[in-house]
Amino acid sequence: MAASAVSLWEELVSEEIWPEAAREYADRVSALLVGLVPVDRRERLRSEIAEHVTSAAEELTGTGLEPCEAMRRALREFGDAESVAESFYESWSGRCSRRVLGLDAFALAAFAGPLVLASGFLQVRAWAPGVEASDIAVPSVLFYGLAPSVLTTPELGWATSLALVLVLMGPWVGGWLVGRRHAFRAGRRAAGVLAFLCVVAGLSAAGMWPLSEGVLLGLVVLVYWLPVGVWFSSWVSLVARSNRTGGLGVGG
Amino acid sequence: MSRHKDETNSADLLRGNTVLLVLAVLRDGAAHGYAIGREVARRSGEALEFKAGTLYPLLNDLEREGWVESRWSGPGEGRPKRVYELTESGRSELMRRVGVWTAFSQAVSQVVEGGPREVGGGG
Repeated sequence: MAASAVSLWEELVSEEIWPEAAREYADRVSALLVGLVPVDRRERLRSEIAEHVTSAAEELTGTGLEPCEAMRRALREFGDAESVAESFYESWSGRCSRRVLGLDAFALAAFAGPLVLASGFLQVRAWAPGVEASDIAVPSVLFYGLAPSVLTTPELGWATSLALVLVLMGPWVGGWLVGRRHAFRAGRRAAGVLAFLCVVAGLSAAGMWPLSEGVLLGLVVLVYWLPVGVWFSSWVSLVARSNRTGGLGVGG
Repeated sequence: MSRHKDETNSADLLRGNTVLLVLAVLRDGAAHGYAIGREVARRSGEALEFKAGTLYPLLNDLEREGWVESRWSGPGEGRPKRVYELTESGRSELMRRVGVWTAFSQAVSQVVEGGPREVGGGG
Protein backbone atom coordinates (compact mmCIF):
# COMPACT_ATOMS: atom_id res chain seq x y z
CA MET A 1 0.00 0.00 0.00
CA ALA A 2 2.80 2.35 0.95
CA ALA A 3 4.43 1.76 -2.43
CA SER A 4 1.23 2.51 -4.34
CA ALA A 5 0.61 5.64 -2.24
CA VAL A 6 4.08 6.95 -3.04
CA SER A 7 3.60 6.26 -6.73
CA LEU A 8 0.39 8.29 -6.58
CA TRP A 9 2.30 11.35 -5.32
CA GLU A 10 4.96 10.80 -7.96
CA GLU A 11 2.27 10.56 -10.57
CA LEU A 12 0.39 13.64 -9.36
CA VAL A 13 3.37 15.84 -8.70
CA SER A 14 5.82 16.26 -11.51
CA GLU A 15 7.95 19.31 -12.23
CA GLU A 16 5.50 20.39 -14.93
CA ILE A 17 2.15 19.93 -13.26
CA TRP A 18 2.75 20.42 -9.53
CA PRO A 19 0.61 23.58 -9.32
CA GLU A 20 -2.35 21.47 -10.47
CA ALA A 21 -1.64 18.56 -8.14
CA ALA A 22 -3.80 19.80 -5.24
CA ARG A 23 -6.80 20.17 -7.53
CA GLU A 24 -6.11 16.80 -9.18
CA TYR A 25 -5.95 15.12 -5.79
CA ALA A 26 -9.16 16.82 -4.59
CA ASP A 27 -10.85 15.71 -7.83
CA ARG A 28 -9.85 12.12 -7.11
CA VAL A 29 -11.32 12.17 -3.62
CA SER A 30 -14.48 13.82 -4.90
CA ALA A 31 -14.82 11.31 -7.75
CA LEU A 32 -14.63 8.41 -5.30
CA LEU A 33 -17.68 9.83 -3.54
CA VAL A 34 -19.87 10.14 -6.64
CA GLY A 35 -23.21 8.48 -6.02
CA LEU A 36 -22.53 8.26 -2.28
CA VAL A 37 -22.56 11.89 -1.21
CA PRO A 38 -24.69 14.71 -2.70
CA VAL A 39 -22.97 16.79 -5.34
CA ASP A 40 -23.00 20.07 -3.36
CA ARG A 41 -21.31 18.38 -0.41
CA ARG A 42 -18.73 16.79 -2.69
CA GLU A 43 -17.99 20.12 -4.33
CA ARG A 44 -17.50 21.71 -0.95
CA LEU A 45 -15.15 18.95 0.20
CA ARG A 46 -13.23 19.21 -3.07
CA SER A 47 -12.66 22.94 -2.58
CA GLU A 48 -11.66 22.46 1.05
CA ILE A 49 -9.14 19.75 0.24
CA ALA A 50 -7.59 21.73 -2.61
CA GLU A 51 -7.34 24.78 -0.38
CA HIS A 52 -5.89 22.78 2.51
CA VAL A 53 -3.22 21.09 0.40
CA THR A 54 -2.31 24.36 -1.33
CA SER A 55 -1.96 26.15 2.04
CA ALA A 56 0.16 23.34 3.46
CA ALA A 57 2.41 23.36 0.37
CA GLU A 58 2.80 27.13 0.57
CA GLU A 59 3.80 26.91 4.20
CA LEU A 60 6.34 24.19 3.44
CA THR A 61 7.70 26.27 0.57
CA GLY A 62 8.14 29.11 3.07
CA THR A 63 10.45 26.86 5.11
CA GLY A 64 12.75 26.52 2.11
CA LEU A 65 11.48 23.38 0.37
CA GLU A 66 11.30 23.29 -3.41
CA PRO A 67 7.68 23.96 -4.45
CA CYS A 68 7.39 20.60 -6.16
CA GLU A 69 8.71 18.73 -3.13
CA ALA A 70 6.53 20.83 -0.82
CA MET A 71 3.43 19.86 -2.79
CA ARG A 72 4.45 16.20 -2.71
CA ARG A 73 4.89 16.28 1.05
CA ALA A 74 1.62 18.16 1.59
CA LEU A 75 -0.25 15.49 -0.37
CA ARG A 76 1.48 12.67 1.47
CA GLU A 77 0.54 14.20 4.80
CA PHE A 78 -3.08 14.49 3.73
CA GLY A 79 -3.30 10.74 3.20
CA ASP A 80 -4.29 8.45 0.38
CA ALA A 81 -7.39 9.48 -1.52
CA GLU A 82 -9.35 6.31 -0.84
CA SER A 83 -8.87 6.52 2.95
CA VAL A 84 -9.92 10.18 2.97
CA ALA A 85 -12.99 9.44 0.85
CA GLU A 86 -13.88 6.49 3.05
CA SER A 87 -13.60 8.51 6.28
CA PHE A 88 -15.73 11.24 4.81
CA TYR A 89 -18.33 8.78 3.55
CA GLU A 90 -18.56 7.10 6.95
CA SER A 91 -18.97 10.48 8.59
CA TRP A 92 -21.56 11.58 6.04
CA SER A 93 -23.63 8.39 6.08
CA GLY A 94 -23.11 7.69 9.79
CA ARG A 95 -22.38 4.12 8.68
CA CYS A 96 -19.27 2.92 10.43
CA SER A 97 -18.12 -0.63 9.85
CA ARG A 98 -18.35 -2.81 12.91
CA ARG A 99 -15.23 -4.70 13.75
CA VAL A 100 -14.73 -8.03 15.46
CA LEU A 101 -11.20 -9.14 16.39
CA GLY A 102 -9.95 -6.24 14.28
CA LEU A 103 -11.77 -7.61 11.23
CA ASP A 104 -14.73 -6.23 9.35
CA ALA A 105 -17.77 -7.86 10.99
CA PHE A 106 -19.88 -7.97 7.83
CA ALA A 107 -17.10 -9.59 5.78
CA LEU A 108 -16.48 -12.07 8.56
CA ALA A 109 -20.13 -13.11 8.60
CA ALA A 110 -20.27 -13.25 4.78
CA PHE A 111 -17.31 -15.63 4.49
CA ALA A 112 -17.46 -17.52 7.78
CA GLY A 113 -21.17 -18.38 7.35
CA PRO A 114 -20.78 -20.65 4.31
CA LEU A 115 -17.52 -22.06 5.68
CA VAL A 116 -19.05 -23.04 9.02
CA LEU A 117 -22.07 -24.56 7.26
CA ALA A 118 -19.85 -26.47 4.84
CA SER A 119 -17.65 -27.88 7.57
CA GLY A 120 -20.78 -28.67 9.59
CA PHE A 121 -22.19 -30.75 6.75
CA LEU A 122 -18.83 -32.41 6.22
CA GLN A 123 -18.84 -33.37 9.87
CA VAL A 124 -22.36 -34.70 9.66
CA ARG A 125 -21.24 -36.96 6.84
CA ALA A 126 -18.22 -38.05 8.83
CA TRP A 127 -20.11 -38.74 12.03
CA ALA A 128 -23.10 -40.36 10.45
CA PRO A 129 -22.04 -41.94 7.16
CA GLY A 130 -24.90 -42.97 4.95
CA VAL A 131 -27.43 -41.00 6.95
CA GLU A 132 -29.06 -37.86 5.65
CA ALA A 133 -28.58 -34.92 7.99
CA SER A 134 -32.32 -34.46 8.35
CA ASP A 135 -32.65 -37.99 9.74
CA ILE A 136 -30.09 -37.53 12.46
CA ALA A 137 -31.35 -37.28 15.97
CA VAL A 138 -29.11 -36.92 18.99
CA PRO A 139 -29.29 -40.60 20.00
CA SER A 140 -28.10 -41.74 16.56
CA VAL A 141 -25.09 -39.45 16.76
CA LEU A 142 -24.30 -40.90 20.15
CA PHE A 143 -24.76 -44.36 18.71
CA TYR A 144 -22.05 -43.78 16.15
CA GLY A 145 -19.74 -42.74 18.97
CA LEU A 146 -16.77 -40.43 18.83
CA ALA A 147 -14.71 -42.40 16.37
CA PRO A 148 -16.61 -44.04 13.53
CA SER A 149 -14.44 -46.89 12.44
CA VAL A 150 -15.31 -46.93 8.76
CA LEU A 151 -15.98 -43.77 6.81
CA THR A 152 -17.75 -44.38 3.56
CA THR A 153 -16.82 -42.44 0.49
CA PRO A 154 -18.93 -39.31 0.07
CA GLU A 155 -22.43 -40.12 -0.97
CA LEU A 156 -24.22 -37.61 -3.06
CA GLY A 157 -26.98 -37.12 -0.55
CA TRP A 158 -28.35 -33.65 -0.10
CA ALA A 159 -26.03 -32.93 2.86
CA THR A 160 -22.85 -33.77 0.94
CA SER A 161 -24.07 -31.96 -2.16
CA LEU A 162 -24.89 -28.90 -0.12
CA ALA A 163 -21.46 -29.01 1.55
CA LEU A 164 -19.77 -29.15 -1.86
CA VAL A 165 -21.91 -26.32 -3.23
CA LEU A 166 -21.11 -24.21 -0.17
CA VAL A 167 -17.39 -24.89 -0.49
CA LEU A 168 -17.43 -24.03 -4.19
CA MET A 169 -19.76 -21.04 -4.02
CA GLY A 170 -18.68 -19.61 -0.66
CA PRO A 171 -15.98 -17.20 -1.87
CA TRP A 172 -18.20 -15.99 -4.74
CA VAL A 173 -21.19 -15.35 -2.52
CA GLY A 174 -19.07 -13.79 0.24
CA GLY A 175 -17.12 -11.72 -2.30
CA TRP A 176 -20.32 -10.47 -3.88
CA LEU A 177 -21.81 -9.50 -0.52
CA VAL A 178 -18.65 -7.72 0.64
CA GLY A 179 -18.16 -5.94 -2.70
CA ARG A 180 -21.77 -4.72 -2.72
CA ARG A 181 -21.62 -3.62 0.88
CA HIS A 182 -18.31 -1.78 0.88
CA ALA A 183 -17.67 1.08 -1.47
CA PHE A 184 -14.07 1.31 -0.31
CA ARG A 185 -11.30 -1.25 0.17
CA ALA A 186 -13.58 -4.26 -0.19
CA GLY A 187 -10.69 -6.47 -1.30
CA ARG A 188 -8.57 -5.54 1.69
CA ARG A 189 -11.42 -6.31 4.08
CA ALA A 190 -11.99 -9.65 2.39
CA ALA A 191 -8.26 -10.43 2.50
CA GLY A 192 -8.09 -9.78 6.26
CA VAL A 193 -11.07 -12.00 6.97
CA LEU A 194 -9.98 -14.80 4.63
CA ALA A 195 -6.43 -14.84 6.02
CA PHE A 196 -7.98 -15.22 9.47
CA LEU A 197 -10.28 -17.99 8.24
CA CYS A 198 -7.29 -19.79 6.69
CA VAL A 199 -5.68 -19.92 10.11
CA VAL A 200 -8.92 -20.96 11.81
CA ALA A 201 -9.63 -23.63 9.20
CA GLY A 202 -6.05 -24.90 9.47
CA LEU A 203 -6.24 -25.09 13.26
CA SER A 204 -9.69 -26.62 13.36
CA ALA A 205 -8.59 -29.21 10.79
CA ALA A 206 -6.80 -30.94 13.64
CA GLY A 207 -10.14 -31.32 15.40
CA MET A 208 -12.09 -32.53 12.40
CA TRP A 209 -12.84 -36.10 11.55
CA PRO A 210 -11.29 -37.46 9.47
CA LEU A 211 -8.16 -35.36 9.72
CA SER A 212 -7.46 -35.51 5.98
CA GLU A 213 -10.85 -33.94 5.28
CA GLY A 214 -10.16 -31.10 7.72
CA VAL A 215 -6.73 -30.45 6.20
CA LEU A 216 -8.30 -30.48 2.74
CA LEU A 217 -10.84 -27.87 3.84
CA GLY A 218 -8.01 -25.68 5.20
CA LEU A 219 -6.14 -25.96 1.91
CA VAL A 220 -9.26 -25.18 -0.07
CA VAL A 221 -9.67 -21.97 1.94
CA LEU A 222 -6.05 -21.04 1.32
CA VAL A 223 -5.74 -21.75 -2.39
CA TYR A 224 -9.32 -21.20 -3.55
CA TRP A 225 -11.29 -19.00 -1.13
CA LEU A 226 -8.56 -16.46 -0.44
CA PRO A 227 -7.71 -15.47 -4.03
CA VAL A 228 -11.26 -15.82 -5.36
CA GLY A 229 -12.84 -13.96 -2.42
CA VAL A 230 -10.36 -11.07 -2.54
CA TRP A 231 -10.49 -10.71 -6.32
CA PHE A 232 -14.27 -11.01 -6.61
CA SER A 233 -15.08 -8.59 -3.78
CA SER A 234 -12.67 -6.01 -5.30
CA TRP A 235 -14.20 -6.53 -8.72
CA VAL A 236 -17.82 -6.22 -7.50
CA SER A 237 -16.91 -3.07 -5.57
CA LEU A 238 -15.18 -1.59 -8.63
CA VAL A 239 -18.11 -2.40 -10.88
CA ALA A 240 -20.49 -0.79 -8.38
CA ARG A 241 -18.24 2.28 -8.32
CA SER A 242 -18.06 2.35 -12.07
CA ASN A 243 -21.86 2.23 -12.25
CA ARG A 244 -22.11 5.12 -9.80
CA THR A 245 -19.56 7.25 -11.56
CA GLY A 246 -20.60 6.40 -15.08
CA GLY A 247 -17.27 4.71 -15.79
CA LEU A 248 -14.98 7.53 -14.57
CA GLY A 249 -11.48 6.33 -13.81
CA VAL A 250 -11.17 6.97 -10.10
CA GLY A 251 -8.19 5.07 -8.84
CA GLY A 252 -7.29 5.66 -5.20
CA MET B 1 4.01 -9.52 25.32
CA SER B 2 1.99 -7.10 27.43
CA ARG B 3 -1.78 -7.22 27.00
CA HIS B 4 -1.74 -3.47 27.40
CA LYS B 5 -1.05 -1.43 24.35
CA ASP B 6 1.53 1.32 24.65
CA GLU B 7 -0.70 4.36 25.01
CA THR B 8 2.10 6.91 25.19
CA ASN B 9 1.85 7.43 21.46
CA SER B 10 0.41 10.90 20.76
CA ALA B 11 -1.97 9.52 18.11
CA ASP B 12 -3.55 7.28 20.74
CA LEU B 13 -3.80 10.15 23.19
CA LEU B 14 -5.32 12.35 20.50
CA ARG B 15 -8.01 9.81 19.66
CA GLY B 16 -11.12 10.47 21.69
CA ASN B 17 -10.21 14.09 22.34
CA THR B 18 -10.31 15.44 18.80
CA VAL B 19 -13.75 17.02 19.25
CA LEU B 20 -12.60 18.84 22.38
CA LEU B 21 -9.48 20.14 20.61
CA VAL B 22 -11.35 21.45 17.57
CA LEU B 23 -14.07 23.09 19.66
CA ALA B 24 -11.40 24.67 21.89
CA VAL B 25 -9.60 26.16 18.88
CA LEU B 26 -12.86 27.54 17.49
CA ARG B 27 -13.74 29.15 20.84
CA ASP B 28 -11.18 31.83 20.02
CA GLY B 29 -12.68 32.65 16.64
CA ALA B 30 -13.69 31.27 13.28
CA ALA B 31 -11.07 29.34 11.34
CA HIS B 32 -10.76 27.23 8.21
CA GLY B 33 -9.72 23.58 8.20
CA TYR B 34 -6.03 24.05 7.63
CA ALA B 35 -5.80 26.77 10.28
CA ILE B 36 -7.55 24.53 12.82
CA GLY B 37 -5.02 21.76 12.29
CA ARG B 38 -2.09 24.17 12.49
CA GLU B 39 -3.44 25.81 15.63
CA VAL B 40 -3.79 22.47 17.43
CA ALA B 41 -0.19 21.67 16.49
CA ARG B 42 1.05 25.13 17.53
CA ARG B 43 -0.71 25.17 20.90
CA SER B 44 0.57 21.70 21.72
CA GLY B 45 4.13 22.58 20.78
CA GLU B 46 3.80 20.32 17.71
CA ALA B 47 3.11 17.34 19.98
CA LEU B 48 -0.41 16.82 18.62
CA GLU B 49 -0.95 16.69 14.93
CA PHE B 50 -4.19 16.03 13.08
CA LYS B 51 -4.04 13.74 10.11
CA ALA B 52 -5.56 16.17 7.66
CA GLY B 53 -7.70 13.51 6.03
CA THR B 54 -9.56 12.93 9.29
CA LEU B 55 -10.19 16.60 9.98
CA TYR B 56 -12.89 17.20 7.36
CA PRO B 57 -14.97 14.16 8.30
CA LEU B 58 -14.74 15.39 11.90
CA LEU B 59 -15.83 18.91 10.95
CA ASN B 60 -18.71 17.35 9.05
CA ASP B 61 -19.73 15.47 12.21
CA LEU B 62 -19.55 18.64 14.31
CA GLU B 63 -21.64 20.54 11.81
CA ARG B 64 -24.25 17.81 11.75
CA GLU B 65 -24.40 17.90 15.55
CA GLY B 66 -25.02 21.64 15.29
CA TRP B 67 -21.89 22.49 17.28
CA VAL B 68 -20.25 24.42 14.47
CA GLU B 69 -21.51 26.19 11.40
CA SER B 70 -19.63 27.10 8.27
CA ARG B 71 -19.61 29.73 5.54
CA TRP B 72 -17.36 30.76 2.68
CA SER B 73 -14.93 33.54 3.55
CA GLY B 74 -15.88 36.88 2.01
CA PRO B 75 -14.20 38.62 -0.93
CA GLY B 76 -11.00 40.43 -0.05
CA GLU B 77 -9.92 37.62 2.33
CA GLY B 78 -7.63 35.92 -0.19
CA ARG B 79 -8.61 32.61 -1.79
CA PRO B 80 -12.14 31.56 -0.84
CA LYS B 81 -12.06 29.27 2.19
CA ARG B 82 -14.70 27.41 4.12
CA VAL B 83 -14.63 28.94 7.58
CA TYR B 84 -16.03 27.19 10.67
CA GLU B 85 -17.31 28.86 13.82
CA LEU B 86 -18.71 27.72 17.11
CA THR B 87 -22.48 27.87 17.69
CA GLU B 88 -24.10 28.42 21.09
CA SER B 89 -24.77 24.72 21.33
CA GLY B 90 -21.11 24.08 20.45
CA ARG B 91 -20.04 26.42 23.22
CA SER B 92 -22.15 24.48 25.75
CA GLU B 93 -20.72 21.20 24.48
CA LEU B 94 -17.22 22.60 24.82
CA MET B 95 -17.89 23.62 28.44
CA ARG B 96 -19.24 20.16 29.20
CA ARG B 97 -16.23 18.44 27.61
CA VAL B 98 -13.77 20.73 29.33
CA GLY B 99 -15.41 19.82 32.66
CA VAL B 100 -15.16 16.10 31.95
CA TRP B 101 -11.56 16.40 30.75
CA THR B 102 -10.48 18.52 33.73
CA ALA B 103 -11.99 16.09 36.23
CA PHE B 104 -10.41 13.15 34.44
CA SER B 105 -6.94 14.68 34.10
CA GLN B 106 -6.97 15.78 37.75
CA ALA B 107 -7.95 12.29 38.83
CA VAL B 108 -5.15 10.74 36.76
CA SER B 109 -2.64 13.28 38.11
CA GLN B 110 -3.66 12.50 41.67
CA VAL B 111 -3.17 8.79 41.11
CA VAL B 112 0.21 9.34 39.47
CA GLU B 113 1.36 11.74 42.18
CA GLY B 114 0.28 9.54 45.07
CA GLY B 115 -3.25 10.69 45.88
CA PRO B 116 -4.77 13.85 47.39
CA ARG B 117 -3.21 15.16 50.57
CA GLU B 118 -5.37 14.42 53.57
CA VAL B 119 -6.29 17.55 55.47
CA GLY B 120 -5.25 17.21 59.13
CA GLY B 121 -4.62 13.52 58.64
CA GLY B 122 -1.96 11.42 60.39
CA GLY B 123 -0.33 12.81 63.57
